This record gives sequence, structure tokens and C-alpha cells, in this order.
Amino acid sequence: MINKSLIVSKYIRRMLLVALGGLFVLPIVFVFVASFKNESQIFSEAGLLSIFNLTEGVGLANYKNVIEQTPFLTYLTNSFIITSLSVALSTLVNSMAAYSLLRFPWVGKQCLLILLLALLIVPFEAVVLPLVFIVTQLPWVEYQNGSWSLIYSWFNSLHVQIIPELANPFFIFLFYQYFKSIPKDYEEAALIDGASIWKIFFTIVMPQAKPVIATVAILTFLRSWNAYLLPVLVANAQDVRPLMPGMQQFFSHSVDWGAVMAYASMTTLPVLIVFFALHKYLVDAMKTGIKR
Amino acid sequence: MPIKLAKDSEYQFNYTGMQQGKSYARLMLLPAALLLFLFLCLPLVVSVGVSLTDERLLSPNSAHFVGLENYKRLLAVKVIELKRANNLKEQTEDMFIYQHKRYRKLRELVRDNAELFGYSELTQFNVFGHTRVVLARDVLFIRSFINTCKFVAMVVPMQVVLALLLALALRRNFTGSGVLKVVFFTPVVTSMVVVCVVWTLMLHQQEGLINQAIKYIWPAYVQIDWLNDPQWSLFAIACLSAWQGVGVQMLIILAGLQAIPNTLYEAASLDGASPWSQFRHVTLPGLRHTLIFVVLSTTIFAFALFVQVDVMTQGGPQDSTSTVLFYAIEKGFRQQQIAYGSTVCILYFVVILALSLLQKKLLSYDK
Amino acid sequence: MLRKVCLVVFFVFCTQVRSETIQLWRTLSAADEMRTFTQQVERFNLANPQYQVSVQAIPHGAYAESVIGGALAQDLPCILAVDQPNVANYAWSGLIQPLYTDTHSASNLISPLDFNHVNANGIGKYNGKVYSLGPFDIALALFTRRSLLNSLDFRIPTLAQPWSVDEFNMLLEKIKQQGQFKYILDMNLAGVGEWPAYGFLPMIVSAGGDFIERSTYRQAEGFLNSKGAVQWGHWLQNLLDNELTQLSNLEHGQFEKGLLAIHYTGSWMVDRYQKAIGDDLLILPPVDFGSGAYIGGGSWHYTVTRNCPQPKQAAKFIAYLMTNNEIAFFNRGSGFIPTSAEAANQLALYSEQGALRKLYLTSERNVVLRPATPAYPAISAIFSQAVRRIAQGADVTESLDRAVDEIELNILDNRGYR
Repeated sequence: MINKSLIVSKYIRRMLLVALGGLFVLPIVFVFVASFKNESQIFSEAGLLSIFNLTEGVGLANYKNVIEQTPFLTYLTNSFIITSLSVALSTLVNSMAAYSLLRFPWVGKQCLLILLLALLIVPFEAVVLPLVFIVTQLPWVEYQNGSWSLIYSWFNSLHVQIIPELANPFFIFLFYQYFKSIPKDYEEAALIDGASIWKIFFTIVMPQAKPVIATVAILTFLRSWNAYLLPVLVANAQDVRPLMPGMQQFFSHSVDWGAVMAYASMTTLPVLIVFFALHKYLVDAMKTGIKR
Repeated sequence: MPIKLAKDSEYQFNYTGMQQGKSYARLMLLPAALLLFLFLCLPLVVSVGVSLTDERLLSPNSAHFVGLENYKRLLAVKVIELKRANNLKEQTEDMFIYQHKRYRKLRELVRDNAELFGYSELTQFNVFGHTRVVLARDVLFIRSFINTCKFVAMVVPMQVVLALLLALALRRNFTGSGVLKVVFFTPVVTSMVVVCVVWTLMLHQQEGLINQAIKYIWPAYVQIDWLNDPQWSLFAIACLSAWQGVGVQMLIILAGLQAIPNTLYEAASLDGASPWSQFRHVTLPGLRHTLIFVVLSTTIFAFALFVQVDVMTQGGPQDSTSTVLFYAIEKGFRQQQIAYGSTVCILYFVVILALSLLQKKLLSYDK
Repeated sequence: MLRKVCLVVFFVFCTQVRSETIQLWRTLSAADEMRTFTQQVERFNLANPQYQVSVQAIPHGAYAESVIGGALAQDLPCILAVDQPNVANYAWSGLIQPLYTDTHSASNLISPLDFNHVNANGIGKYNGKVYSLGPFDIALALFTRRSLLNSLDFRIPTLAQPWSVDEFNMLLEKIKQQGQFKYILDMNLAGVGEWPAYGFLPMIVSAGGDFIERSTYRQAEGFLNSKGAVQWGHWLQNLLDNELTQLSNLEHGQFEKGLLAIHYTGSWMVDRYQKAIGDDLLILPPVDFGSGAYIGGGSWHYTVTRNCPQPKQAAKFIAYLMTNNEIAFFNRGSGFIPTSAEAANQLALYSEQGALRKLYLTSERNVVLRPATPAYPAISAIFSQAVRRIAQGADVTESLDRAVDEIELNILDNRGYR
């Protein structure tokens, strides 16, 4: 008797949970569904079931509009370049630093580590304004009009959206912790055999560090792809703007909800694909990620 | 998070013939060190320096040293006491008396007294028939700070309680629990800009999903214009932020729950403890550490509220969603007063620093 | 040594190559206007093969930000289109250089002959120097239907006798009672950027207010919060309360569809509305709030930036755009109002017998220029905020007082913009 009611209440609870889950993804599903409708349909078909009614949808018209009438493809390319370079370089720069800190004895290393720990606390948002100030004074060499020229500003470029966020104390510590679990004997043996540090690092250490590389890569991917604050400040020219600020611009100047939703679904789809493919790694990455 | 520094040489190379290796090792550290210095340490130093001047982003004037003026302006608050000159009912306009002079408007009073220069009204309250007026030099900053605190006070309980409930419900694996975890986690990976856009649509006054749903359940409901009503705008933003972020907290609490030994529950149920008292006496104490961590890290995260405001409301309506960070960007970048904006950032950093230290202290004390 | 050589070679390279192209930034606007402008550029480039003007069109909403970004990136083009009220600020900030200083100056890029024929709307001055020139202007007007006024038996206003604000209120009430229109008046209240200042300053001036005192440009007290300005604010709230106008953006095309009775907007809509409703269209002068019907003056001008390597050539292009023939050509193609009398006479629409002659006259005579102070961008932004607050129901006096305080504080923060 008791058992039965327990089981029943368990099922009710699970039903509720499933319903809640449905409500939870509803907004995201809504983005995709609404992107196939025109404005009046979006507003008139707002019932729990009728939002899925696509019988009178406009097909891919909204997508076509976005691609043809906004610089969406430019933004997409920019985001793609920024994200892929950020992921590659961030993994490299932070792992090298961690390895060097862990394996090599030198004076002042402890101080450096403590300094790194202190830098963990500094939120990016707190330094973003002076950062804008600094990047307007940095030199850069650029190839334009058939010659190389020197420009004393990083403003409005792709590299300004990549380089400042590459080195990250938290990622360095992630690598540092992980490298500790790798026994050093093998590396030392290679060292005695005369292998160079680079070779050891890339052929012995990194292949063993796949889980932590995945973590750092995923966190960097999400951060760069979804980046908003920094590009809003330092990249306001169309040819260097990435997806999210582009979307904000489009959203604030457009009254066409269907097109806005088409834009939103195109920016979200890559993330969702990565998420569903890698969700096991992603969940681990996130668990460590918040602990920043 | 406990990060242990490798104090001993157990992780270091002992091989002595690697002088050349050492310099390579320094080279490996160099990029990160350089970048951290240039884009983290230097900005911190620069922001402190700049906050003592009146530097602007684009201005022909060179910066002047102004000392602590920026800090003073941001934080200056004064309380003055006024007497109402007349309580006669037929008189429509109020008169104030301040230092034996009569004024019709508070603004006239402020403009008339040199020591109140630059102040304006933040709020006023009555104590025993005396009107006290709180004046501030930068009313919008103080408001933004209060708004940010309000937001934290709304979003943290919402998010943590919801995360706790979800974690408890998903604690035991059952068919579909994995899928549900993924479902509750999906908003986390979705870009905040996308989230804001779709919620703006859902929060639309007449035709939005949310109002239509409430109306369906409760026909007497008068549709709230969520994002254009100063009473509700911040709450609406808190709701969507909680929705977006709850997955992470859920995962951390789940990990915390798994760390509680099952034997404790078995012992409790042998003692005949009800599910509630199990929760009260086993789960909660076991989660103490995790919950402190979750609450404080969510607070720190919530303090950085910016994207939602920038995309959805631009601080409005009636400044009800202006936050510290939004104000800093607005002043420091869009109005080009980089010195003033940097000062706001420093104050923001001080708050985050205090919270981080509190977190470290509570967590280490807990052990 | 090698490094030094490299550096020298490098700099020689930098200075030698380019010099053929002159970059120009302007806003991306309607297809007609863009086509006309492109034709002008092509003609100029053909006539002057030694340097080529190359145009980059930037969307309206992003333009001001792009200029600031360009300045921070040290990547501004040689010729920059600038909204006339911002000229003073750009000049003060050192972004642009004067085109003409005085008769004796050796640094004049153009001669008085290049702009003597241009009216006030087409010349941007700061500190007595000419910084910018613009070939066109636009005019604000009330767009409505002849049939509507006839059916209500309501007087059609003229430039000499515009509607008074009381008359206008009465009209709006009547339209509402008639119940034929879903929307009664649209003033683009949710408009962003420059619209609030451009659209509503003429009303405030007509009501007896202004943004700021106009000789030293330091005092807003008694101007933006003057009695007239406050009355205007109450008028606005009154319309909103009585649902005679609305805060949110309307979908496009409400006027053509017959859902909107009166549209307060710029002459850029003339063409579209004329095509849609033909002779029924009435283009009327704005409402008189006390001292006459005013419209905003000054539109997009062209300037030469400070770091332009070929200022003379850049100025030559601007001078070319400002010849009477080119002014006429541009406005024939774009439908805007020319900024010189001779050009107006060349155009069928704006000449003595032209259908839109009165628009030209309004733009020449009943014009309120926005204050020519470097503080203007700040003033405009602060005013927009105040309008938004008022429209959202905040206290009018408080909102305007606050705007006054903010403007004066901004001027103080910038050491008076000296």
C-alpha cells in the first residue's frame, strides 16, 4: 500500500520534471520554430501547441532575408576566425605556461604562482575599460593597399578580439593540476636521451592531456563564440564585427521578428551541435568552469 | 577551489644537464606572462592611474590630475532635513524651509546653497513630521548600485533554490535523467544575446507567450508590460537570467550530492526519519560547503550583469535596470569619460574582491 | 644595422604606395540617393583620373559609432560625411580640419567662390571657420490626407498660418472620434539617434524654449526647462494619455494602408507617399506652439579629416559636389531639398512654380539649426533620454531639470569645451 503510493508519487514527480524540462527548452525551440514564420503568425500563434504550427510558415524566407540583407556572412566568418584561433592559441599558450611552471625549477617561481592565484580573482569586466584605452595605443603591422604599414591602434580589428583574452590564469591552473598527475619519469628519460623540450611537450605531454585540453577548448569556444562585451567596445566596424554584437545591432534596428529569429537560430545552431556532440565533456568543463 | 601549489620538487625535473632546457622553459612561459601583464595587470594599474584624472577617450584636452574627485563624486551622499512650511490643504504647492529660507522646489534649494553644488535628490523619507532628503552627486550611480544589489537579491535565491530542487529530483539515475540533465543545461550554452532576444519576444505585453499563458490560466490577469514597467523590468531580467544559468548550479549541487555517503541516508531511514528530516539533517549539512560556494559564485556572477540590460532595456525604463557595469560602460565608453568609467570599474572590482575573499574565508573555515 | 635598413625601406614603402585613392565614408541610404551619388563620384573620377574617390556606405544606426571607432583605430577616411550638428564636436575633437579659415589664410582648402551660393543649411561652421559643406537638406512636415480634412471640414494650414497647437489638438480629437483610423498621429517617439533632437527641437523653440543659451553655450537652465519646454512635455504626455499617439514603433506602411491619419516625419517620405496615395497627399507645415512653425535644418555634410594625406584633392571633390549643377543633379535624383537658390531654380519641384516650392522656402526661412557647440552630441543624447522618460510617464519638470543638470555638468566636465 505504502509502496504503491510511493511509486505513484514518484511517477507524478517525474512527469512534473519532464513537463518542466519541456518548458525549459521551449524558448530555444521557439527560436527555431518562429524563424519559419512571419511576424503576424509569430504573434497570433502563441498557444502552447499552436506555436508549433508550421503549416502556413514562410519556409526559409527569413533566412534568405537575413543572409541577403545583413552582413550575416561577414559576421559569421569573423566569429569563426576569432573562435578557432582563440581555441587553438589559448590551449597552446596556457598549457605551455603551466608546463613550464610545473616542471622547471627557478628562482621566484613561487611568487609567480601566487601572483597567478591573485589574478584569478580579477574579473575581466573590471579591466575592460582600461583595456580599451590600452589597445588604442598598441602598434600593429598590417598589409593594405599592396604594402606593409604600421598602425598605432588595435581598435577595430580581429586580433584585438583574440589576443587580450588568450592567457587565462584559471586555464593555466587547470593545466597545472592536470600535468601533476602525469608521471615525469618518461619525460626525464626523453630529456636524457637528448630530446628537446618542445618535442617532449608536444609528443609526450600533450597527448596525455586530452581531457583538460577538451575542457579548455570547450570553455574558450563558448566564450569566444558568445563574446559580447569586448567586441561591443573594440570592434564596431562592420568588417570585423562578430555574430553576437551583430545580432544586437540587427535586433535593435529591425522590427521583423521572423528575421531576428532566423538570425538567432543560425547563431545558436553551431553551439547546439557542439553541445549535443560533446555534452559529456562540456558538462565536465562547465563544472570546472564556474569555479573560476 | 583548492589549488595546491607544488611546494616540493617532486614534480620538477631533476636532470642537471638541462641548462638549455631552462631557457626554453622560460620561453614557454613568456607568451602567457606577457599577455597577462599587458591585458590584466597593466589595465588594473592604468585604471587606478586614470581614475585620478579627467582623461577622455577622444578629446583635444590633455588629462588633468584631479585627485580623488571621481571617487568623491561617485560616492558623495548627503542627508538634509527640511521643514514643510505649510500644511494647509488649500495650498497646492509645497514650500520647504531649509536654513531659514523658503524654497518651492528642492532643485532651487540645491542651486542656492554652494555646499550642495552638484547634488540632486536620491530619495526622501519622513521621520516624525520632518522630511529628510537623501542627496547624492551621482544619483544614477547609486541607483545602479542599488539595482545591482536588488538583482542579486532576486536572482541568487531563485537560481540556487531551483538548482537545488532540480538536483534533488535528478539525484538518482532513472530512464531519461541523462536527457533531462542535458535539457536543463541547454540554456547555459545558448548565447545570452539570443536568450535576451527571444525573451524580449516572449515578454511582449499584448502578444507575448508569457502574458498569453498567464492570461489563459488566470483570466482576470491584467497584462504587465514586463520590460517597460519600472516595477517589473528588473524582475523579468532576473527570471531569464536564472533560467539561463541554473544548469551550472544544478550540476555543481549534483556533484555535491553524490559526495554525501549513502550510508548516512541508510542510517537515517533505519531510524525512521521522514524524507523532510532526511533532507534537513543529512542533505543540507552535507551540502553546506557546496551551497556556500554556489551562492557566492552566483553572487559574483550576478554582479557583472550587463548583456541583458544592454540588449533588452538600455538601463530603462526610468533607470530601473541600470547596473554598475552598464553604467561604467555607458559613461566610460559611450560618453567617452574613460576616467570616470574606470573609477566605477575599480569600485566594482573592490566589491568582487570582498566577495571573493569572503568566499575563500568561509570555505577554508569550513574545512 | 639590418633592422634600421628594414625600417627605412618599410617607411619608404608606406609613404610611396597609395595616394591614388581618396576614401569617403557616408551613410547608407535609399537606393535612389545612393545611385545618384555613385554617378557623381564616377563622373568626378573620370574627370580626375590621377586620384579616385572610393565610397564606403555605413548604415545609419552605426554611423556615429563607426566614426568614433575609426578615430580610435586611426583609420578615418579622407572625406567624412558628418551630420551637420556634430560638426562643432568633430572640429573641437580634432577629427576634421577647416575647409576655409579667412581670406588671408594659406591653409584654405577651398575658396569662398565654392560656397558663397550655399544657404545656411549647407554650411557647417565652428569658431568662424568653415568645416563642412552639404548639398542637400530635408524638411519636417505633417503628412496627411486631403480627404480626411475635407470630411472633417477642417482648415488646411499654410506656412503663413499654420495650425496652432489648440487647433491641432482639436483635430486629433476629431479624428479619434471619427474612429476611421487605428493610429492617429505618429511622431516616431521611439526613434533613436538624432531623431528626437531633430524632430522635437523645432517644437520646443516654437514653444519658447531651446536646448541651451546660444552665445557662450554654457547655460541650459532656463532654456531646456523653460515654461515653453515644460508645456511641450505636458502636451506630449497628454497625447499619449489620450491615445492620440503611441510610444512604440509602428510597422512600416501604416500610413499608406490608411491605418495612420497623420505622420510627422521628414521630406524623405514625400516620394513614397506620393506614389501610394497620389493627389490625396497633403504635406503640411508643422504645428505652431506659439512663435510659428519651425523645422529642423542642417543635414549630412562633407568634411575633410585631420589626418587626410591629400586634403587639397579631398576638398576639391567636396567643392565639385557643391557646384550648383551638382547640387541640382543630386537633389533631382534623391528628391531632397537643395541648399542653394540657383540649384532650386534648376529643379522642377523646387523652382518658383514647383509643387514643393514651399518646402524649399520652409527650409530656407523657418529653420532652427541645432546649437553649434562641441557639447551638441552630449546634449542630443541627454535630450533623447529626457524625451524617453517623459514619454514613459515620468514627471516633465523633473525630467527636463535633470537634463539641464546633466548638460551643464557635461560642459563643466569638459572644461567648457574650450
